[in-house]
Amino acid sequence: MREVLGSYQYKNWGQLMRKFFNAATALQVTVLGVLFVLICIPVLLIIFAALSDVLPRPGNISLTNLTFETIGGILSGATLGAAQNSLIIAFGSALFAMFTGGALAFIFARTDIKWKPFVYLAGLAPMFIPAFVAALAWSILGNPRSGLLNVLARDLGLPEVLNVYSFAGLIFVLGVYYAPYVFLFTSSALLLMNPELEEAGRVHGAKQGTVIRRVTMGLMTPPLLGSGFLVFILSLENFPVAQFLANPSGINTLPTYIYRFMNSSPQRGNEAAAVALLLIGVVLLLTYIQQRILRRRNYTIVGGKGARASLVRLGRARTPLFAGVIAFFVVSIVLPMSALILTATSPSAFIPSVTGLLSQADFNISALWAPFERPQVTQAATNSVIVSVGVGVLATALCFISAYLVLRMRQPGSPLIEYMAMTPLAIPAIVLGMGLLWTWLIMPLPVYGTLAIMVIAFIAVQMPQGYRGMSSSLLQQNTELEESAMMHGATRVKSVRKITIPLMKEGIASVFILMLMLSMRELTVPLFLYTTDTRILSIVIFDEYENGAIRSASALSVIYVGIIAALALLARRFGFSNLR
Amino acid sequence: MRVSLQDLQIHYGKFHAVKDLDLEVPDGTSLVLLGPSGCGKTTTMRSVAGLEAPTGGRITVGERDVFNFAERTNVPPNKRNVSMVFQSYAIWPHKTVYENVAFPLQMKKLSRSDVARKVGEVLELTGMSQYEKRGASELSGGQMQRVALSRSLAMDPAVMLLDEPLSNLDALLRVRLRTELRRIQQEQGLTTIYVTHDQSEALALADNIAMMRAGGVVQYGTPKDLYQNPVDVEAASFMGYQNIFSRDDSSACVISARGLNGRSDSGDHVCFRASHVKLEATNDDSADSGSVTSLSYQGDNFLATVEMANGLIVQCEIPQAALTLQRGDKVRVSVDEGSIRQLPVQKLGSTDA
Ligand SMILES: Nc1ncnc2c1ncn2[C@@H]1O[C@H](COP(=O)(O)OP(=O)(O)OP(=O)(O)O)[C@@H](O)[C@H]1O
Ligand SMILES: [Mg+2]
Repeated sequence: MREVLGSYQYKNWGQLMRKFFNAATALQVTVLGVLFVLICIPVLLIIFAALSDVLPRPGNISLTNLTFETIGGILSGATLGAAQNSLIIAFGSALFAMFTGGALAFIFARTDIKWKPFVYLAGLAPMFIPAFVAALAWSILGNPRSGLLNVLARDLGLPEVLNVYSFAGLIFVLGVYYAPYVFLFTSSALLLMNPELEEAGRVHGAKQGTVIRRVTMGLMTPPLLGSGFLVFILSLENFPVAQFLANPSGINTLPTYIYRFMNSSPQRGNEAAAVALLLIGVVLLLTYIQQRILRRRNYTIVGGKGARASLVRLGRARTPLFAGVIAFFVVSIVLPMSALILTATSPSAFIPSVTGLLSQADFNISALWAPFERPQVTQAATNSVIVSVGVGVLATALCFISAYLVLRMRQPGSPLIEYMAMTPLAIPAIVLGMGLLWTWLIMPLPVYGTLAIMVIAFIAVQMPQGYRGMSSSLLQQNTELEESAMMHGATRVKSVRKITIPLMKEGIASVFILMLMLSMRELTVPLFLYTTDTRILSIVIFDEYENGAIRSASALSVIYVGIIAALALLARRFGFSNLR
Repeated sequence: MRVSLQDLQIHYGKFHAVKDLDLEVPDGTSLVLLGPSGCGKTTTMRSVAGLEAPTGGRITVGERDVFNFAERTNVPPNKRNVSMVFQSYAIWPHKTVYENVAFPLQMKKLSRSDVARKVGEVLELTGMSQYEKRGASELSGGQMQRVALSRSLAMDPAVMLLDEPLSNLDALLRVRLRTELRRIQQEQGLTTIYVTHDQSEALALADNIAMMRAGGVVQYGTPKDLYQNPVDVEAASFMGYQNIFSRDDSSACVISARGLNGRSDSGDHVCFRASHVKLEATNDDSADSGSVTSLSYQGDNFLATVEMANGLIVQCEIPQAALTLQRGDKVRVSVDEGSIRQLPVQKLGSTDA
């Protein structure tokens, strides 16, 4: 009797296991397939296009017409010049961001400056203004002829000095609006630092200033360098800022170069792909160098008994430094936002005199909403919402399944999921956009020209951020909670649904909001993918500006920044700081 | 150099963390601060280093006042020539072992060759010479400990402060390093203040021990004084007295009655060590006998728990060689008169240092 029962149970259990393993394997294969189509095919098509003289179209892809001519062709003075410009701009903005972000972080975390919450806000706030909106605002403020600051200078009888259409302008805008990455990394490291490390310097004979220079600064190097590299790469691959600020003065960068190849007629996609390959190469090389440098410096400075570090007394430097913080806030937030609002609400786009304009006070606040009277704009706003929510839902689900497969199932091949999910980090957005376009022209699914292609593309681009957020949230969950549910008779699916997902509520919600916000911000990737019916807000702003409709672009930008700031604050409430 | 703390007060807001503290550390000796968690050991030590500002009193190092509340003297930490080994070691992870140890010498603006010579000497002394080039984050706990010690030694401090420096290490290494610490302290004639929770560490390292409680000193003396004559029950239990009975409770207990005959102390508790208890097998049911309820092996000896006829539980240490007992055996329990201490629960006020 017992034997019969035993074997019966065994058989049932075995069947269950077999079925379960099949299901898990099937799921893993599906996810690998999805990621391959989403991410790998676009990259492969870029490589193909760069090594070929035909564009990847159905029936065109064969290995017979491989050639190095395209690559050889673009390795000319013009491309190398653009590459050099890109590197100069990226290097400059990384240094600038490290300096401003690092200084703000130190002031915030380690000194007795007054109004600390404001200092924190000043360090963080530039993140709420997407770089292309900032570039737009700064071109209103500082273009060499009619920039508001130049007009104001003329009003006051001063010489016109500002020209943001220059290397300095690019470095300034990218540096300021990427500085929050440095600020966040560095200030949290400073706050977590074991204060005994500094005290040890004091008791071993060093003055406060010497301790800061020799101990604190040394400890700050890894987060500072790490975030500096991030800013370097973000600046290197940034397209819209370069388009707005570098193009008018004829400065080429690698991303603008790619964009121009793609937009020339006839389209010169092969050359674009070759330049893209060069850009990917530079990014990969930099990532490698960064890891080489940071690996040896990967030390923990956290620890101690939770004692609070003593703050540096600023004394007489307190007021000037605080004034500096206010100045940074004014330059990064107040000036550009005022410029956008002024431009949107003033009677005419051409402003001959700032003092005159302010004294007339003839503003029309309702002009901020004027663009929404046009059906194309409301359509774009609706599209933005649909796309963002769609990406939010689908990307969150895909990231959860991927992270779960990698961290909990650990089947052979799981690590591949992680590699694929993180690949887009090394692929500049403009390059990925191009690859995605070719991919979905080839695919036998009729998604080109619909919102679906936007959703697909955004999922691909944002996969690294989503995956990283989800896996760190899953890593914080104790595996044993889920296992004990299974020991007590639940199937794996059921225990994930009843135990793991409810426990990860917050983490899942934060990934969702992060995906929403990143989709709202994205401009570069959809540039290649949109059609008249599928424009989204960021594209409309870009188009309006490129077509000279400055007032409407400004009005939309103000609303757009409002939405993004709200989403960013929401995301931070859920503990997200690595917004891209 | 000699260190003295006079009438030291430290407040955190309303909380009085250190009260009326007087302590004296003669030149070249080692003082151990011993006491329960939160009693103010770290706070006292940090105020000697200058990392904490007292709210009253005076601290003298050598002949110099480094802190004097009345005269508003407060010498900054880098000018005190007092070094400290932190509990977290506080080894700078971005510097190599050599650079860590060289730091205080560079601060003294020594020439490059003098720095190198001195660092070499110190690392030799602590046995870390072969790790000179290592990054500080590539060291084990015990090695970091030695680097922290080397760094403090390198500056030739007037006083060296050590805050539970061995507490993050495993038991074996702890014993080895504490012997080494004592050797270095005595060889170099260092004046040290050392904080620990651990009774055996305190005994091994101290010339004098100050037992602290609630921000004050309750007993000060040589390790032998504290070991043999704790001032009160709490001090006794800290010093490893395993048997502590209230006198009321044990009034019927013949062991103590016998032991205490003729002694006139006025304490209300009876304390003695397990190692001072004698057991003999017996058959009668007299009041000074009981039965063995457990036996546990301790290496050199056994720890026996005996339940007396009146329910009292007594811990006894028996040499392994002498062990013929079994669980359940009846034994007669006795303690030498001289080994018994009769103590109050808590001595009020603090003894003078
Ligand atoms: N910065 C501070 N603010 C307020 N209270 C403090 C502060 N630092 C210490 N205390 C309090 O002062 C008392 C003494 O602390 P201290 O760190 O000196 O204890 P300790 O004897 O070193 O304890 P342990 O053995 O746990 O290290 C404690 O009650 C602690 O809560
Ligand atoms: Mg302590």
